[in-house]
Parts: sequence; C-alpha cells; structure tokens
Amino acid sequence: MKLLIVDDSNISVVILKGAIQKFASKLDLEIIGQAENGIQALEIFKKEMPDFVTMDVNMPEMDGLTALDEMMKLKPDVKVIIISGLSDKSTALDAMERGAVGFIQKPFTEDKLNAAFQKLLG
Amino acid sequence: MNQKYLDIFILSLKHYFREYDHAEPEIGVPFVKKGDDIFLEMTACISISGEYRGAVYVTLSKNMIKEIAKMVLGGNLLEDIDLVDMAGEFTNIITGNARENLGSGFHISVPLVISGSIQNIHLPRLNQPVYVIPFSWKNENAYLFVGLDTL
Repeated sequence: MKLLIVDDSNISVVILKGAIQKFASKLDLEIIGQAENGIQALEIFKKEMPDFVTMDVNMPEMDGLTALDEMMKLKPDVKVIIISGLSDKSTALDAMERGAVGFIQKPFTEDKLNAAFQKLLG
Repeated sequence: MNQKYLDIFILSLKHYFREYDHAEPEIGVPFVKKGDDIFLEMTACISISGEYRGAVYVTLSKNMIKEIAKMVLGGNLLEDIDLVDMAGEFTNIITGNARENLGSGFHISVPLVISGSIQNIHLPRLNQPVYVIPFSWKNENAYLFVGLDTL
C-alpha cells in the first residue's frame, strides 16, 4: 500500500518517516513521496494514487483541508490522516466530515504516531 | 487581551516540552512590550486573523533551536538540520495549539522566519498592548510575543 506524506516542515517529515519506517513492513506500507503543500501533494497524488496520506493543515499555497477535498474527489476510498498543530475540536471534526479517517495533534512523538497508525491502519 | 490569553499561550509552551518528556521551560513574569523588541538570533512570526487580529512571534537563540530539534528527534541531531524550519514549526505548533482554547475563529498564517538581527516588528495598530512572555530552557532564554485584538 502506498503512502504519501504532506507537510511543509521538513523536521516533521523526518520524524514521520522515521516512525512510519519502523512499522511500514508490518502494515505493508511504502512511502512513495512527500510534498510541502497541497498543490504539490495533488500533483503526486494524481500520478501515484496512494492508498494513505498523512496531511498537515496549515501550509502555504494550498492548505491540507482543501487538498483533502480534492483527493476525496479523485479517490474516495483514500485514507487521509490529518497531522496538525491546530488543536481545536472543530478542525478535527471538519476534517472527519470531509473524509479524513484520523486526526493526530502536533506536537507528536514516535510512540504517539505508532499507536495512532496501528489503531487506524492495523 | 487579559490574563486568560497569556495563560493559554503559557499552557501551549509547557505542553510542547512536556509532550517530549523533558523538563518544562521556566516561565518568567510576562510584561508589556515598550519600545523596541528584544530579538535573538531567529524570530518566527505568525499573523492572526479571523475573529482575532494581531500576531504571535517567538525569538530564540540558535542553541535553543538546536536543543529543541534534538529533543523532538529523540536525541539525534541531524548535521544538516534546518534551524529556520525548526523555529517556524515550533512557533506554528505553539500558536496552533492555542486554538484549543481560542476556537476555530483564531486563524493562523504559515510562519515567517527572520534570521539575524532586526530592530522591530510593527504590528497593525492594536487596541490591546503586546505582551511578552519570557521563558528559559537548557540555560537559554527566549521570548514569546502575543499581540491580539478580539474583533
């Protein structure tokens, strides 16, 4: 199963990759790319049609919720997990209503990510 | 802006460090900004819109940013770590976490990071003063500035 990472912070991408690579084989996940904004994410999405996406919200050029809407139109069964510093409940609910399957709040540790991924994808 | 808003940002700061199981930063006594700001080696700014107007910015030393990066990477500091990115993401999370208490009408921009010496940041004319929250961690000092009007 193919996974795309979308986040404008390189340090968050490094942590995400490190954590995901530890359980990727168990869940049969392959990281196929990373993007730093919604527009770049959609370009990769259209080419690769990934099964899973981790998506930041607050990004330049196109935010994560707009990109989520576009991805749901292109592939309604894609599993998008929002990973954001925006911690209010309404952002999480909004994301879920738009089709996201999970919401992980920043700051996050590897352990927190592992637990969330196992629960969502395991 | 009242004490409630200051407490929200202090809570965000403490939560960030607590999440990684490290000692919380020591929070100094907040004060009202008068005249020029105190700027350290890097300053990350986020502008605020929606039901609020203003800005939040954090100024830190490179050493503190490196220590924060080391903490979030589990002790493994990458040689080519992007300090600008780390400063921006730190400020983004501290500010974004404030939405838990300020609500979804608290809109935040992506961070703008200024590296090096600057004299001042001029905010839009606010009815409320800009508050400065000093904090220290790992023997390094930093300052969080909060200038907010409620519309």
